[in-house]
Amino acid sequence: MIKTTRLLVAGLLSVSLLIGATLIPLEASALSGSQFKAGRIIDDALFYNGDTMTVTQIQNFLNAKVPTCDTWGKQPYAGTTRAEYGKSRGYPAPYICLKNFKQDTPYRAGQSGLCSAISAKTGRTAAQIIDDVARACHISEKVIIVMLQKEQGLVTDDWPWSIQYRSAMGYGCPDTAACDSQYYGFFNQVYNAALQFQRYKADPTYWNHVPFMTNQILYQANAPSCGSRSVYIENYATAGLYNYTPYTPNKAALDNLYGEGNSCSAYGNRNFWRYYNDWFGTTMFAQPTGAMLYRQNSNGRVYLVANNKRFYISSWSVMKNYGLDTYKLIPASDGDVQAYVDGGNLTNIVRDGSGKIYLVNNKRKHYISSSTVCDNWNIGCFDTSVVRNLGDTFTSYHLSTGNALGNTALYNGVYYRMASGVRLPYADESSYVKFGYSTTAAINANALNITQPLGKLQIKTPALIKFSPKAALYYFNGSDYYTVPDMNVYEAWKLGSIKAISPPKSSYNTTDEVTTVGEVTYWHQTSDGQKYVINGGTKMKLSTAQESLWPTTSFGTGLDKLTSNLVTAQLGQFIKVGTDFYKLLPELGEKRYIAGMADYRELGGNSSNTTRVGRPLGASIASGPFTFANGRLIKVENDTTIYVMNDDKLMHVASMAVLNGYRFDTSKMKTYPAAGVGAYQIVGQLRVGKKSDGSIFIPHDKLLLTLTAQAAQEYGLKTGITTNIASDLTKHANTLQASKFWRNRDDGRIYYGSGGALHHVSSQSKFRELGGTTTPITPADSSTLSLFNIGTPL
Amino acid sequence: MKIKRPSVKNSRLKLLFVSIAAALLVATGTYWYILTNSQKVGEDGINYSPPTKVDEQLNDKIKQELGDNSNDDSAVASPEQPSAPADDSRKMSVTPVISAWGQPEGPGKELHLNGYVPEVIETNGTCTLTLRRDGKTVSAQKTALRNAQNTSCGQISIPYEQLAPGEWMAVLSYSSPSSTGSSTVTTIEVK
Repeated sequence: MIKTTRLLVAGLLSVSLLIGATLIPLEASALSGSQFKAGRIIDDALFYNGDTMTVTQIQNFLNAKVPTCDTWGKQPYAGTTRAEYGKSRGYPAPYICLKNFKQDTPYRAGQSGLCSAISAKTGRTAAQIIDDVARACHISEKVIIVMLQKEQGLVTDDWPWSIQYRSAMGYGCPDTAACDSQYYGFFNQVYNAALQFQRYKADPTYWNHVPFMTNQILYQANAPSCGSRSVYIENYATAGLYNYTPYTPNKAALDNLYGEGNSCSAYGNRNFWRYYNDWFGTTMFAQPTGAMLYRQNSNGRVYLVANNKRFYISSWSVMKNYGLDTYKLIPASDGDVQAYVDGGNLTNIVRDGSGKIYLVNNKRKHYISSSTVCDNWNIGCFDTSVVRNLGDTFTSYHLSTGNALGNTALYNGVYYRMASGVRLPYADESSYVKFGYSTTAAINANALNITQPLGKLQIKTPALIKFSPKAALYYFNGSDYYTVPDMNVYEAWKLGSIKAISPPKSSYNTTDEVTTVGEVTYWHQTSDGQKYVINGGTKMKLSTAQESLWPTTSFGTGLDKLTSNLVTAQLGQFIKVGTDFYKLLPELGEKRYIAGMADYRELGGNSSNTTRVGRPLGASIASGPFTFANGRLIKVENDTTIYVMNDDKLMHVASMAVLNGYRFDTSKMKTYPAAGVGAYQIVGQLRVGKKSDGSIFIPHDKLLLTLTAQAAQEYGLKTGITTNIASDLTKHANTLQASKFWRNRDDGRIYYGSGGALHHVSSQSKFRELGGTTTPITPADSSTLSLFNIGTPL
Repeated sequence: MKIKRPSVKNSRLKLLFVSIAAALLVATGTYWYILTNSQKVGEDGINYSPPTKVDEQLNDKIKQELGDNSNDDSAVASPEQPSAPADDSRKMSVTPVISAWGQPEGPGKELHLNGYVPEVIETNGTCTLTLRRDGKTVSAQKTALRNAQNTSCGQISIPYEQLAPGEWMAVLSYSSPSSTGSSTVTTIEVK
């Protein structure tokens, strides 16, 4: 049990420590020497900003760093008192701490591009002096404070000696010799050091170390054996620190960041970095190389400060074009802004120190080699009111180098060619390439550089094209535009399967009318003269006869390429439009409606000779009357006349004998108005039919007596009494092949056909002699026999 | 007489009470100690904490150096140095430093070299850059500049026409009425 209690006590103590630990405010992570970047000790934006603290903030800060000033040196030091020790070294009490320090400050004339003038003042505190100089020379108050600390420890010293004020910034003090009296005094030190930092920036190559290149920086003063290291100096501020104190900390100094390293360690720049971090936070405030972005506190205006000038940035687009949009803006007072010469608005044309002119586009600079290029782009390359000199550092290091400016650009997915100040858009990449331009040569343009007046759309690729917001659809054949009138034509040509281009509205003037050479229609004549009808994604080659179906239609031209993409088909004898069947009669230039499937089949229609066509194309063929199968009986209203359909023509059925002989189906007889029947060509009276092979059909009772052409001639069928009939007009009839012997049932006489006539056989013996007993006798009557020539009796 | 033994249960309760009190005391103390010793960073991001031990050590070190050198605290006359001894052997010996060099791309392709003299701050000296290679010697001079804590030679340029690609031995010399000396030899690659 005792053991359990002990465990309980131990647990409680552990918990208490844990509670204590969790109540502790989270500390910022400790600074480590590994974070030190020798080439970037502090960023320009922090260093060259003379508005980082107010006098009150500075004074409060100095007060905090020396809570109690040992003015009379009463505290013990080196076995005695500070006062005694100081006296022995020539610096007796009283000791004035920095927070209490005051002095009269002299007038300093302004130095162009470096420091503005400072008027003479009396009784200025150290905080006021720091602020006065910071604002006049645009060097951060924080930087000055840290310099005072790293050079002489003045900020935290609670019994500073006069010599520490005399050389407060170490200005004019070489490593191994006495200080230069010309620069003695607190104000003098602060002012000259700040001025010197501006000198370094104004003439970056005049001094020991140069920004934006690799430098050799010693580890230790007067100890060449300690060596040096190569450091690429990334900004002006860091170069300035090395110009001022030309040593960089070695590994030992960084490993023991808050102590001492070894005999090769130097601490000036390490301590600067350490104190700045510990007192004011990070030294990093990324800005574009060779420039700074100021935001004027009083009005929010943003400036690029470069080449000792300020350039007003008028829009976010300009920021993005220069690749400045990722940087934080430096808050700046009116004085900070006005310290720089007004360079005008930041434009997109810059020149470097050698006078070369560039177009700035999406953080790249493109060399403009001639006035022709300049004119093509319609930019004021040689207009001094437009061209900006942003300094070679910014121009060389912040802006990357693109291809020399050509005359082509890609913007918003559209290629453009600049020609005499006009921007010619290309409908698509293929067209751009076909015109002979390289896609890699085109710069990816920022909107700022695409302000030229828009020219005519350039297109070479055959394609469908639409210019929103207009609804019209066009086909471009590589040289001309054709209107696509409707979706039926679109479907007929299968335009959905070809390339379509919808150029962005930005690439053409939406109010422009498109000049067309015609419409895409169903009828097209290729350059070889062949005429086609376009239907259902096929091209139907028309025979000369079929062309008559569209006797007045104008066949379009210029669409050979489009036509070649279509499958070839044949226009059948029949067409199907929707669910309706029609028979085409090219010789009449019309189509005829077929009333039903039975007629369609009887007319010979089947899938192989029937073409399905769209309604508009079907409607384009003139319509004749209905058509029927051969042998279909047609009757006229209020009339007893009966006609029979015979190859799309009507023939009068002369008598019941004819009706019976051909055995036409009276149950399917249709009655039409006389006008309707009149639409048909009536080609005569049907009795003796003659087919195309010359065979003859003569109705008799319920038969058709048939004769070959030769027999008809031999038997003396009269001429001019036959009517041409369709081959299938006799399909329902019962036929009987006529022989040489005929019997007239009216009088019983026998006739024999021979020599172009029928001859009466007058005797039984002659009948036998002619073979009548072994030959079938053709039945006839007087009416039938009257169709023949009657010869002399035999 | 019956001796009443202390209740084991009571003892345990007392021990528990004391332990809780002790734990709270330790927690509060720990919190207070760390709170009073943590950095006071203001809303403006500035650290208003009192000086640290490290700061005090820095101040002591500076005092020590100043105290040690107090007898040598003689200012240098300004603006110019005293008239110089004519004899070089009586001049102050200095060791210039070659601190940067480069050969920017471009039509000129000049060789640029920067250097300085750490030991003095003067305006009346001359820096001389001498390059040697295969028996050929090329040199250029520049008047030195007063710098904050040294004398700067600034940037000395040598036209590319006088050079040939390859490694050159570079020496930076300095001479003024009162000082003289040369840098160590630095090998420089000319492209």
